[in-house]
Amino acid sequence: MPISTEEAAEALKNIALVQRRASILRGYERGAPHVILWGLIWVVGYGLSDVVPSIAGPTWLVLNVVGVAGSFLLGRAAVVSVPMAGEGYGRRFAALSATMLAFILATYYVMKPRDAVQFGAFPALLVATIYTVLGIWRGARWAASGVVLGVCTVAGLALFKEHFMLWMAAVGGTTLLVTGLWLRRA
Amino acid sequence: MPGEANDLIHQPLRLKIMAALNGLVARESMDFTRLRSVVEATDGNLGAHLSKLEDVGYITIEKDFIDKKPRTRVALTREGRKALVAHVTYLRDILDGVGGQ
Repeated sequence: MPISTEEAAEALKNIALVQRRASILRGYERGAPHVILWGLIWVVGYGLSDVVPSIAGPTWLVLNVVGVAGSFLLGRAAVVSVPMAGEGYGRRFAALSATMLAFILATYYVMKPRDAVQFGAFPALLVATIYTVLGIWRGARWAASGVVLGVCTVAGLALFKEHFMLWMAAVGGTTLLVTGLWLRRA
Repeated sequence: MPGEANDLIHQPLRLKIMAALNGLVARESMDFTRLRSVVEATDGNLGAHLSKLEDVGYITIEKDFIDKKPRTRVALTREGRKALVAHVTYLRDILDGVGGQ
């Protein structure tokens, strides 16, 4: 049975839509473990920053190293079962984490935050922005999570400044954990 | 590769299945539940169409157990990939006014 021009166009459009949807879902699946990892890191890091503020610096130093190493291992594990797929995937995820950390440190150096709250809020707002921008191109779940994280961070600054670290441990960390689980279930 | 119409692949859900699997690299497979989400089909409907594609050698279906839970994974064969590429070329030729109708 001959295929009309309209049918051909519709079929090609559906192919493109399905391939985009598959790519988005694959991105969610691969990103989920990393988001969960950093959610746990935020719970521990912000939590300790509230309970023992004097060791906040060393705490975050250790946790960030754990995060970068964890990103590498998770990225590598994601492609173990798929030969020849994503060579260097683990290195790229680790490089992504390291680059973000370098940007944060460079911004601290330039902007010279005045207090612990500013030190704590900036990374969260950066992650929120990155997720939102990522979501514009790579799936609405990223954008939704970014917006929620951004709103929660600003709400913490406005309403709970005195307990901001605890707020970020509970709300920020939980947002990332829930995001990771939500991405995994997509 | 010259275009070639393929009525079996052209069925809307089967076309979606082939397109979704074509995005994977060689030797990579997709979980049945993930494929169901991607093509937005029911279990029964998806299963029926996968059987048809497997019968002609366009896909492989592997079943195993992970932590005692059954898992089904689907992958495109080389023949399936070639057939899809030929059919897509055929569709594009129609739009270019080269052939088809």
